[in-house]
Amino acid sequence: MKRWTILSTLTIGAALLAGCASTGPSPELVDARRTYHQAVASPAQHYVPAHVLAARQALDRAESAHADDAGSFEERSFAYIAQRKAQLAMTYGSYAQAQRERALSEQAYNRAQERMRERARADAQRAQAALAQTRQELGEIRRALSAQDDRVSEQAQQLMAREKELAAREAELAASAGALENERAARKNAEMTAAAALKSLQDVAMVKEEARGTVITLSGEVLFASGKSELLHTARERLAQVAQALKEIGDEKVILVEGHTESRGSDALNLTLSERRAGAVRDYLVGQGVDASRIRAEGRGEHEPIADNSSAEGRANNRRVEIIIQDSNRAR
Amino acid sequence: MHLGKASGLLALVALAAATGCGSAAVPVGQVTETQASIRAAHELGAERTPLAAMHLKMARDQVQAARAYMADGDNAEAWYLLKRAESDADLAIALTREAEMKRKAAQSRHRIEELGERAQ
Repeated sequence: MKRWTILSTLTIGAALLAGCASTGPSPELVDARRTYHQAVASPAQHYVPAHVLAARQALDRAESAHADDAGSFEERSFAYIAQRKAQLAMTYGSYAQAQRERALSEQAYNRAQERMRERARADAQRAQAALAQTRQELGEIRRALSAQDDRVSEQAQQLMAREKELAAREAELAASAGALENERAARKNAEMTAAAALKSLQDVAMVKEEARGTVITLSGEVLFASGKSELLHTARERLAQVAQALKEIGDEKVILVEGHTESRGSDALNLTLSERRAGAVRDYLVGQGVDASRIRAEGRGEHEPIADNSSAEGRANNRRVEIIIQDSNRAR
Repeated sequence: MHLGKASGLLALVALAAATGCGSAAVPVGQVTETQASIRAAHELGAERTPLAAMHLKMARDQVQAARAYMADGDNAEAWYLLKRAESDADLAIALTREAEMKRKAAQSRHRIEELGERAQ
């Protein structure tokens, strides 16, 4: 374009000086024709056809002037103008093209921005959803922790209650141990008392420990007359001592009074006699204050001898009353 | 400065019209149109675009030459020179606008390229 302008500038003066001697197209017309064809081939034809047409019209006037008066100032001037209009058309074509490119770029920019905004919105939505989920999970964790706290609190209360209960039981145990100790001491005292009481009987009866319990054996000779079941006067004194001892041995003991005879006489008679004698002793002991519910009487007759019935001494030993002191759980 | 020259030219045109010399009429209308185009090119900032500035200068030079023709009573030649000057001034306007639009288009391209880089 610069070249065209320089050429055009140079030809202004040349045209004014040269006159109309030439019959060929002036340099301006040559340039105008070439530039016009460039304009037609350029985007100007598409974007700004009116400007191309104006260039065409100016070129036509130049051509007409050339036909009328070749090399005239008119020809050169219209050729000059036609070239400028062709350049103008190309420039506005370029302008329109740039404008279109700019519009396309702006549209692309707006679309890209919209996509970015959409992505940002989507990201924000995802972030919000993630945040909501996190909040929900946090809430669940808090609720779980709260429930756990409740359970721990409840367990602590249960533990405290158990500790209290344990303390109470320990106190009870201590009390029980004390009571047991007291009981043991009392029992020991009772046993000592019973032992002392039983020992005191050794002067009036034979006392010995057997598997069935403590057996106090009183000879039948000192208790009853022969064949009788009434207590002799001397027997009452001894039984009074026995009764005293039995009262001292404690309530947990039961007492069995067994009557025994020798083998002379009928079996039935001996059994009856032994029962009566046992009963008489029991009655007397009850009369002396021994608890009736703890004492019973049984006759064994001649069936459980402790000596040989063939001798007088043996028969005397077999005639007897045994008072058996037993633990209540061992009583037969 | 250009307005001063324009005023001088109009005075010359008026003088030529008053004297009535030459066969063609004094191209008063064309002077006005050409000066309007030159003023528009100047106001658009044609001097800041090298090619536009060159055409603007050519327009002014041709107006100056036309003034000389009109002073000699050669109004027909003066008219042609004023038309040529107008076409140069119009081209200067177009070149200025084209340069500005190309600058804006480049800016838009650059902006979208930047956006693409940011999006990556």
